[in-house]
Amino acid sequence: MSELANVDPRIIESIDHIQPPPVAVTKLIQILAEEFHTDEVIDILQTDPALTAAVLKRCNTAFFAQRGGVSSLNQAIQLLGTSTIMNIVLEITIGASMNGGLAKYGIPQSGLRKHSICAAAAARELTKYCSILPFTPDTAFTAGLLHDIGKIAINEVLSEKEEALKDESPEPTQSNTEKERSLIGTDHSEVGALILNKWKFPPFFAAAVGEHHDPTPGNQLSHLIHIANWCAHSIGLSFGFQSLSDELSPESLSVMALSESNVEEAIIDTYNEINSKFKSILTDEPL
Amino acid sequence: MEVIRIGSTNSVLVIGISDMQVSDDSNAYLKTYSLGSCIGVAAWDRDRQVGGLLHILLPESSIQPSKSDSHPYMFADTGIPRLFHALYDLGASKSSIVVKVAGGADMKSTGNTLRIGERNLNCTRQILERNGVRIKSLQVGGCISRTMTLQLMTGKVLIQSPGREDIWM
Repeated sequence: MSELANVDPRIIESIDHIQPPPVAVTKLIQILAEEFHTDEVIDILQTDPALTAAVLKRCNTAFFAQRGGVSSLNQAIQLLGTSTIMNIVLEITIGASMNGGLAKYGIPQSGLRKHSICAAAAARELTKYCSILPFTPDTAFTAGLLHDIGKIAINEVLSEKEEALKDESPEPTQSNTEKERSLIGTDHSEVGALILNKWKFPPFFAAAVGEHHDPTPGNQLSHLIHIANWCAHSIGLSFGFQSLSDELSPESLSVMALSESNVEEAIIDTYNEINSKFKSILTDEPL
Repeated sequence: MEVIRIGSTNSVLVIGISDMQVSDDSNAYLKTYSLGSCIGVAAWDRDRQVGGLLHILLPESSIQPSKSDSHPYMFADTGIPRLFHALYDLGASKSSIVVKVAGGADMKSTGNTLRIGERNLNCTRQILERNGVRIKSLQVGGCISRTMTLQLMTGKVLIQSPGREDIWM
C-alpha cells in the first residue's frame, strides 16, 4: 500500500497523531543505511543541540554511567556503538509513543518497546551470520526497533472495536495480521511503512517494515526483520493476544542464506546482548 | 473454577529467561513471564513443600557448548538436571516431586521450519521420561505466550495469557 488515497482516513489521522522524530533522526537513518564514518553521525547529531544534550544525559545515567560516564558524542559512540546510540536517540524522540500500552492488541505498557528492542537486537545479531548484506547492522537494528510502529496508529483506530483482535479459540483460524486486514483493510506493517515514508525514511527501509510479515525477494532487510521478529516472539518478548499467530516464512531463511542453527545461535547472542544492556526487560513484570 | 489470590504479603520470586530458582519458603511464589517458544518447568515436592521453576530457552546445549557452563539454565539438557539437584539439596526426593510444564508455542510455518517450541517440549519430555519422571500436567503449544506461577504452599501452577481465562493446573 503506497497510495495514501486508498487508506482509511482514520488511519491517516492517527498517523498524524504520532510525534515525528526531528530531521536529524531521518538523516541518521539515511547515512546508517550505507558505509558511514562516525564523524558523520556526530555532525548530524550536533545540528540538534537539544537532542545532543539529551543523548549525553542518557549516556550518563543508570547503566552507562557505571562505565565511567561520557562527556562527548565521540566518546559515547566509541564506548557504546552506533546501534546503542541510535536506540537512545529513538527512545528520546519517539520513545513516549513506543512505551504506551496497546489495549486493542492486549499489549501491556512497555510491551511494544520490549518486543521492539529484542527484535532490533536479534536483527543485528543475525547479520553476523549473513555473508553478504546490502545494508549495515545498524540499519538492521533500527528497522527491528521500528518494525511494529504501525500498531500504535491502528490501536487508536480500533478504539471503538474493543478487543476486536482477541481470539480465545485454541487454534485461531486467522492470524493477527489477517484480523487487522479484515477489520480496517490494512495491517500494522503497511501502516508502519506509511509512517516511515511520511517521516522521509529511506524507501527500502520503509518497505522492509511494510513487508515484514510478507517479505518480497527484492528486499533482504524485510526478510531479516521477518526472522528477527520471530526470534523476539520465540525468546518470549512477545506480548498481546495470540502473539505468535502470524506465519513464519521458511523462504526468508534461504533468501538470507541462514541455517536453523545460525538462527538458534543468534537467539543465544540476542539473549546475551539483552542480558548485558537491557537486563530489566527480561524480568520486569508486563504491567 | 478455584481461585487462589496471590497476596501482597507473599513473596514472589521472578525467574528471568534462561534462569532457575528453587525455594523452601512455603509462602513464596515462583513466577516467570512470557513463555513464548520457551518452556517453563515447575517441580514441587509434595512432602517437603519445596519447589523450583526453570525457564528454558533452547533444547540442547550442543548448539553452543561453551554456554552450558555459563548459562546452564538456557538449555533443557543442562537446566533440568540442575533443577532436580537443587531441589534434592533442599531435601526433596525424586519420588515425591510433581512436575508441570508450560510454554512451547510456535509461529505457524510450512515445512516445519524453526519449530523451537515443539523441539523444546520434545526434549523436555525425553529428558524427564529418560529419568523416570512423569509430567503431571501440561499447558503447551498453540500461538500464545504464557506467564507461569508456582505456588509453593500447594504446588499449584497458574497459567496466564493475554485475553484468556487464567488456568490453574
